[in-house]
Amino acid sequence: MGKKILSGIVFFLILLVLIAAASYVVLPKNNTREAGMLTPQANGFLGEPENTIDVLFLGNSESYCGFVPLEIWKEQGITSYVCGSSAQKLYQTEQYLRSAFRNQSPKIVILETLAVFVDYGRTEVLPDMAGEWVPLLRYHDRWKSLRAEDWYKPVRYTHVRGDKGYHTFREIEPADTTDYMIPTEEVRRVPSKNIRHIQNMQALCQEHGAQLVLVSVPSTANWNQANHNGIAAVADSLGITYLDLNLMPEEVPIDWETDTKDKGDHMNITGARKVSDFMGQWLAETGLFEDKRSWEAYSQWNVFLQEYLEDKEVDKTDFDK
Amino acid sequence: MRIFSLLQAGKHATLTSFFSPMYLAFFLPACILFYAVMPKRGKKYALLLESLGFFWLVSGQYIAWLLVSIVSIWGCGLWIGWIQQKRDAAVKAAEKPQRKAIKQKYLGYTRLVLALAALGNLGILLVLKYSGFFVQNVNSVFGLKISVPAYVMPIGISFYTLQAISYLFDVYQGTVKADRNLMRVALFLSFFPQIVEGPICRYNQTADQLWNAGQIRYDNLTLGLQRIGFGLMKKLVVADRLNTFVEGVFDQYWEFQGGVIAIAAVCYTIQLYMDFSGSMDAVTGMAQIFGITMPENFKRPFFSRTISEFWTRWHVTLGTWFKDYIFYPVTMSKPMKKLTGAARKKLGNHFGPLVAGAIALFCVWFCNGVWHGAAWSFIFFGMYHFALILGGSLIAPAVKKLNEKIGFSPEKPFCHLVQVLRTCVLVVIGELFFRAAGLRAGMNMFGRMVTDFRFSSLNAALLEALSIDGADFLIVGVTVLIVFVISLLNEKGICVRGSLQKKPTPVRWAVLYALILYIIIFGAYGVGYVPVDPMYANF
Repeated sequence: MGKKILSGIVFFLILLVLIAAASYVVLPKNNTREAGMLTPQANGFLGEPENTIDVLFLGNSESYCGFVPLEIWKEQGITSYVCGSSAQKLYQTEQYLRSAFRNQSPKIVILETLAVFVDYGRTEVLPDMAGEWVPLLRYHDRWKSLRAEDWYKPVRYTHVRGDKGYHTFREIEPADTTDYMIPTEEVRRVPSKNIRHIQNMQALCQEHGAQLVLVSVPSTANWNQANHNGIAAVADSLGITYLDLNLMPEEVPIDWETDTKDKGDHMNITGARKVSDFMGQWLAETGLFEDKRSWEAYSQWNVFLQEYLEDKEVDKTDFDK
Repeated sequence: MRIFSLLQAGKHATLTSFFSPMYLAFFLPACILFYAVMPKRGKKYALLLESLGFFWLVSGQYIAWLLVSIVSIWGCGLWIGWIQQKRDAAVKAAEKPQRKAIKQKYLGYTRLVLALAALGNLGILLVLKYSGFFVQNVNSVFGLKISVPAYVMPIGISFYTLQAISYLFDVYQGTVKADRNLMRVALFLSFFPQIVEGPICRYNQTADQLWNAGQIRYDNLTLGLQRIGFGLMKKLVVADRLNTFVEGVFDQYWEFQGGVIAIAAVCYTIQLYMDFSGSMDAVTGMAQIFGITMPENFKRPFFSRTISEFWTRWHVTLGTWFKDYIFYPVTMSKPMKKLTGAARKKLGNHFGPLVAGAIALFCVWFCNGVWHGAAWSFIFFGMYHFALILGGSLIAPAVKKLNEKIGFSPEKPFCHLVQVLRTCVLVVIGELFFRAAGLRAGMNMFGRMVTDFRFSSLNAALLEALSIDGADFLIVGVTVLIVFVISLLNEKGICVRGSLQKKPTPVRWAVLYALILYIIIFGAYGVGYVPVDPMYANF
């Protein structure tokens, strides 16, 4: 029996080695879609030079539609990156944050709050977590596009994205604001597992000398007073700063006739600029950041800014919506 | 209510797939571990607990239907057994001339109990599965507006109901003794690997094996895991990879040429086989881990030379169930025997018995069609096979004469191949109707295949729209080839698994590593793929 157990252990050890080797082969060698990277826009921070990002935005589509890093750069000289992906769940957000802290040291981490209400099942997490540990499970489908260099080339993330994780939407579809932010005492419950994720992210931020801030991007379709109350209660109990831009019409003057791309679901470029201008100002007022617009090491940001101002849609085809 | 929510009753529908990460990574290992640590006397109770727990996790409060079936067949089985005992005692005590009358009297009682229990169990299935279809048709025929009921069916009801009825019949016929042990009956009916998609086991095939299941043995564990791995390859690499193409064409068939529809029908047939037989490999493998031998549900069906042979190799346990509990009872009934006798005199020895046989065959195929689902397309599917099998029997003498005349010997390899291909084509046509979204859609698709058999629209853009590409088809083709070669060797009497077991360790391990990596790399799962439920779990 002992011999059989030993043989079983050896079998699994060899299997682990084979899986590790295959994982290395399929692992994208750069942070681009061509290299096989999944959600390349959210993983774009991997290519940013070390410790150059001041602020990290996290969240689902509300984040990559609402925050424009180059607008903040233009106005305040603060560097930021939107690590957002479609329907992002908080367990993924936490993974992104852990990953970001490996080569960046943002002073402020902003979590867009819509994802906080999105519950998920264990069955969803399991494959995702497994993929985190065993890249072969996440990137196995790359067998279709493997190149010779995938077998020997080291992993090196070098692609610096010009959009900084923001996606430009120019469509305009006015929103109906009839039921928007009607006062109520009702409190929408935040799933307890998501509160744990926020706590984990808060601890991670503290560990890395950063501050976690919760921000709700304006959205008539997704936001209401009960949501606000739910997030406010969580923020209050955890001692986290919370900014609900839905309740700040003077500071963030969203025109629901022109500033939304899809009837109040997401911001379009004009709405996103208003949101970002306010956020830039708020970030500047924290006094944590220096204006880097004239710094030589950050000159590439000005190149990207120029492209942004000229409405060149860099990296658009490389964006998972 | 608090306990209900704590136990997550009915919240784990993903467990119905043997290949879901939840099942393979947690549920099955937990069951094996729990079973392994139980002392020998407790193992049967561990299996029962796991089985009922599984049902509870998947179907929640609908476990009540399963419990009703278990208790009813256990009680009625004992009742029938008690009547039979009384009959035997009465027959023994009676004089010879009175014995026949006594037997008849008690036969009436046993039939009454059997009918009560069988119809009761069948009634649950009929109400839950078919009442909506029935009311819909009544509404459309009579122009009524009766609200159409839509009941939630517990998982595996179509399978365990047939097992329940088979147990009652077997007790009635005396082939098994009525079981006094409620737990053994419960385990027979609810054994967790088989309840989702079968196989439909008989009491004397598995009840004692399950009840006497012993220690997990190393050989059984490794062989069982290998079989699960083989099933996983069929399901993940082939069936799930073909899903987007099949779904895309069948759901919007009007946009495709007949040739493309024909390819989709072939792909669906492959998908269904790989999905269902892959699941059966998993069931058989899991049972083997616990030391239980399950009846095989597939015996290389695509090597069949006729449709009748196909149905002795495809979903074997369903076929034998219909044969034993519908075909034989109908043909052996008194009126049918009389009919056969009369027909034999008028039509001769070949065609005479076919009259009663046709009636029994019609019952079998009507039930087979309806068992698969409450829809006219399924009834048509049954009738299609009925017509093919009956037609085959009717023209058999003429075909034999014709073959002799033209020198076509079915035993020659080429002729054999022609027959196999012909059967495959007929099967694919049947599966087209089986998969189509309704009978009208099936007819239209078939019409397109006949009138517009072109492939010119099948290009890269179309495949991209259907989320499949040449590389997908290539890997499907390679895997189908692997399965084909293994099947061919099995067909020639070479047991591939047995041969592999005899090979030196490095060879065995290399094959296993190749299989595992093949599944992980080429499996259709993860980003960009939608998990596909086991196809027969819906029946």
